[in-house]
Amino acid sequence: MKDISNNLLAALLIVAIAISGFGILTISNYVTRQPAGIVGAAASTGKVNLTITEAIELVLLRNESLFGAGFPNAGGGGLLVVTSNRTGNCGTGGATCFYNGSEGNGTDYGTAGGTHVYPFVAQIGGNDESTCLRVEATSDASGFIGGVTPSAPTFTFAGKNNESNSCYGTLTSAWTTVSTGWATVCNTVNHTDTNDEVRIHWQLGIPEDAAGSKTDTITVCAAGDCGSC
Amino acid sequence: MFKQTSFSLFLFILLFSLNASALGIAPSRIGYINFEPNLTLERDVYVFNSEHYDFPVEMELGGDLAQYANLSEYNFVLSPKGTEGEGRLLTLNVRLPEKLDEPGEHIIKVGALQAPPTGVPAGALAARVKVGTGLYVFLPYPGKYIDADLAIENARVNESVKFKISITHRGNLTINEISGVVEVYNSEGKKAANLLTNKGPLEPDNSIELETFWNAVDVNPGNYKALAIIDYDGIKKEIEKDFRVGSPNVKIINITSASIVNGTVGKIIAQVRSYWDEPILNVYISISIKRGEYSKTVQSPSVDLDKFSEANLEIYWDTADAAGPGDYPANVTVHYLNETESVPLTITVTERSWFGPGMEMIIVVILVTSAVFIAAVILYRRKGRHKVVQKRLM
Repeated sequence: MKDISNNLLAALLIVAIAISGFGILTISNYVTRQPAGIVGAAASTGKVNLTITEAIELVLLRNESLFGAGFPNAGGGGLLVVTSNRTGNCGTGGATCFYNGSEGNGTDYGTAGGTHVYPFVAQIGGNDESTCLRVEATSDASGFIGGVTPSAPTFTFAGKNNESNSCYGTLTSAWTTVSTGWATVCNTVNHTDTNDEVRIHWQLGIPEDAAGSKTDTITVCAAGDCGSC
Repeated sequence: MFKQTSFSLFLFILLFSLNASALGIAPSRIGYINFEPNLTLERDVYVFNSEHYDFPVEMELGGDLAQYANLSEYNFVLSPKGTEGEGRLLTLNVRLPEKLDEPGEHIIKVGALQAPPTGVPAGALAARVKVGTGLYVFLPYPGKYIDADLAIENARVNESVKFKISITHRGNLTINEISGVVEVYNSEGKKAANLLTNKGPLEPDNSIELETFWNAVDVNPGNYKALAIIDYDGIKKEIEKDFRVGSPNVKIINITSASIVNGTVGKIIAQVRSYWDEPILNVYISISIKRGEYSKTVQSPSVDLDKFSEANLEIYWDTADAAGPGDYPANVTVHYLNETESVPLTITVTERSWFGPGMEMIIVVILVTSAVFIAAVILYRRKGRHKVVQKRLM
């Protein structure tokens, strides 16, 4: 066993010497084929093409504003105005009231079906520097809420930053009519993680003679340009 | 009594929960091209799911040129985020018409919508998300027509303000010479500068940048307005834009604070000055005082500072609960427009002493009274002796 090991070692030594010799010869040959040896830094240029496409991502962190069930004002009480950012609205004439509004805060989005109505919260992801955020409805206030007494119903929205400076362009902070055409909440929303959330509040003006189940669909759109929604 | 209708239950559930929903699209802008008759092109559009559940998507085309485009797919379901099939690469095929009637901007909108929800109970409303992108097609105006944008970099006082006018020729005739003048006005509407830009020719569909600079040396910080007047072969176009030199700034320029006797209320007066050419509302001072375990912050009433004006703001500090006589390190902070600026201050609280403030007057009164009394006694005695001498002489 010992003899075999010595032979094996000798063989390995010969192989190693042979490989080393081959390597030396190869390197020598390579160096001698250089025009003038290495006399300085030689530079060559290559081109790497990289195209980063701008993407938009829209996340509705909360897509519900639950007003619940209730009664409109009765007997000349006028439009019952319920909003997602004001407390104290209920309606009269029964034990069942619409939920009150609540401004909430930056991270607490409330519990669905709770006793407050919370605004939508839209978050913009992707890497687009200036995303436009818009809303439209399938039906306007009349088609959605109905009723005419004492006046036509109203259906409006208002934007608010949920994180500071999320909207660094024009933020529609005044109550603005929701219609079947696009209305801009913010024309330039940031996309950075700590500044990319906008609330969309809702306000409903319910006539005295409005009644029954109501349906409507709100579409929230994010696009590179407002014109692309 | 209520009317009949008022008793009917008004079921009003706005926006039934659909859980969070999220959708993405790339690119955010497909592009901006000039119109060419019968132009055909293809563009990739990638739609992706950002939710962890299957997401049905509907694609739609819109805009005034929608009829000249189609998509490779319109309805599909995206797999949950992070799984194969989370995104879908679509092809937008466009074949523009022979001609367009209206010059200017046209668009093909590409929208990806969350599919309408199913199984929503009666009386519930649905919310859906949409992400959109667009391909803009521009038909040049006949003749010479420019789009221009003015960019201004805000600067500090004594720095240079750069005005850059970016111009694109949207017409179809060569502009031989285009140049600009930038007029700068202060907040009172007085012209502060008149600046000439570079100039040059401009071919259709090409762009040029006209630049000029204003050295805002020895000017008041404040809001300014720039009016850029662009002249291209005798045709004029104006752009206005507001900019700012410096920023609203309020400084504490003096603090008056005498020693305060322990247990009394001391007054600290901070003199503040506005370095801004418009009013600054709700300016106030706070003082944070700390020594050992003792810590207190007191605040002054707020004032409105007129432009470049000064005001004295008074703060009263009750030392009744302070940590006794000694020096109290404090920070005086002026608050304005969500900004603050602080300066350090040491407030000295002294021992209550008989020879403290007010005692000097009492001592003076006692001394004067005593002197008058002694003088009266001396005069009285002298007068008594004088009478005795007179009696003896008689």
